[in-house]
Amino acid sequence: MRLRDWALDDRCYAVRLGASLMGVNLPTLTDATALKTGPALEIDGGILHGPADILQRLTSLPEVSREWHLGIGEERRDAWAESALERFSHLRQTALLAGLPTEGIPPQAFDLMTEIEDRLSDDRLRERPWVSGSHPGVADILLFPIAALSQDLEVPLDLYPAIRNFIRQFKALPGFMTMPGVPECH
Amino acid sequence: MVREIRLTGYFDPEALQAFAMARAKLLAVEITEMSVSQSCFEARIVGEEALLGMFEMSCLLGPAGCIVTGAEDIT
Amino acid sequence: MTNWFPLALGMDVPPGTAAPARLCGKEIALWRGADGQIHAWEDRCPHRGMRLSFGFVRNGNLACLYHGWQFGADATCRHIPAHPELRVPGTIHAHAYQAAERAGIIWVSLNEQASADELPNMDAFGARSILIRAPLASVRTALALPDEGWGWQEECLVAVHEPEPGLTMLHMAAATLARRLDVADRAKMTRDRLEALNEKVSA
Repeated sequence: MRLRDWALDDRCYAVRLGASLMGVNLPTLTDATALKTGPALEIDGGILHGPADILQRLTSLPEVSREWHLGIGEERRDAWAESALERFSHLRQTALLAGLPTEGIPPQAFDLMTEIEDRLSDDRLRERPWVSGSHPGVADILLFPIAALSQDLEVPLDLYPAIRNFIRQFKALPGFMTMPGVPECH
Repeated sequence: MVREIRLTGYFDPEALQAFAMARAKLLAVEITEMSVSQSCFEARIVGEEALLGMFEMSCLLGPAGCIVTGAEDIT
Repeated sequence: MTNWFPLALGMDVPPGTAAPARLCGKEIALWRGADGQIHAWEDRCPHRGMRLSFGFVRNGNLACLYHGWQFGADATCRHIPAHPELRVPGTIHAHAYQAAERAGIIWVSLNEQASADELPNMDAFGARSILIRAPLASVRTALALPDEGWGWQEECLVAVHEPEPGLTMLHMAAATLARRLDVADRAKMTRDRLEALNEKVSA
C-alpha cells in the first residue's frame, strides 16, 4: 500500500492526516500528477482515486478502530465534504498560482465558508460534536484542510466562530499531523 | 547597568528618535544622552542588562525607512 | 451614545482560548483564562507586533505565539522566556480595552469611561454569530434596529457589529436554552434575505 502524494496539495494532506489519525502506516511517493488529479492510493494491485474513497478504504483496514465507522443512524456526509474540499482545492490553487495579486476574496470562498459554518454551527446547537456524528470521521477529515488552510484564500477567521472551534477541537485529536501552513495546537 | 551604543546607517532622524524613545519607555530603559543624524545614532542607556539588550535589538531593526549597517558598543 | 460593541458570543471564546475580532479597523484579541474572565486587547504583541490572538493561554496568562512573552490578566508582561531571570518591568504591557459579558455576548468598548449601564441586563443564551455580506447601516435598517446599540425582538437579543466596511456580524441570543435552535434558524433566514437584497441593490 502506498500513497501517490503531493505534500502541498490539500486533498493529499487530508489523506495523510486521516492515515495518521487512524494509526495507519502509509508510505508516500511524491508524484506531481497528484497536484492536478489529487491523491491516489496503490492498494491490492489496483489504484484508488478521490480522497473520500481513499479515506473510506482506510477505515476498513483491520488495524483501524471501529470508531472511525459511522454510528447507527448517523447520516453520511462524506460526499458533501468531498465536494467542499474539491471546490476549496480549486480556489486555493487559483489563488496560490495567480501570476499577479488578485483583487479581493472570491465570493465563492465566502459561499463555501458560509456553507461549512452553517453546518458546524447547527451541529453544535444540536450537541453533535463532529460532522460525522459522535466521533470524528471521514467527513471531518475532508473538511479540516479547508478550515485550516482558508488563510491561503485570505478569508478572515474572525467571521467564522464555529470553524475556529472546529479547528481547535480537531487539532487536539491524538495522531494529528501538520502540513506547511497548518501549525500545531499549543 | 550603563551602556553606550552607536549605530551607523541611513536614518530618518526624527523617526528613529521617536522610535527609540517609545521603545525605551516600554522597556523601562532610561536614555541619558542621545544624538541622531542621518548616518549615526548614539545613545547612553541605563537599565537592566537584558532590557538594554532588547532595546539595542529593537533599534537594530528600527522603524520603517531606517537601515542599520553597523553597530558597536562604545562604552 | 453607546460605547459598547458586541464582538462575539461568549461560547465562541471558551476558557483557555484566544480568538480574533475586528472593529472599526482595529484588530482585537479576545481571550479567556481558566477562571472564566473575558479580556479584550489590541491584537498586537508590544514586542514584535505579532497577533496575540494567535497565542495560547497558560496559567492565566496570554502567551504570544512568536517569542512566548506572557501577559497577565491586567495586561502587564509577566514572563519573557528568553530571560527567565529578568524581573519584567511593569512598563511592558499589552493594550487592554474594556470587556464585559452580558446576555451571552462579549461586549467591548474602546472608550475607557464607558458605563456598563448601557449593556443589556437580561439573561440570554448565545445562539449564533453570523456573517452577513451587507453594510452595517442596511442591516440595521432592515432589522429595525436603532442607529446604535442592540435590540430585543421576539424573545431574542439582536446586536450587530462591523468587522470591515461592507461586512456585518449579526449576533443573536435566545431568552431560553431551548429556543437557541429557532433563533439560529432566524439568523440564517435573516442573512439569506439581506444578502439577496444587497445583491439586488448592488446589481
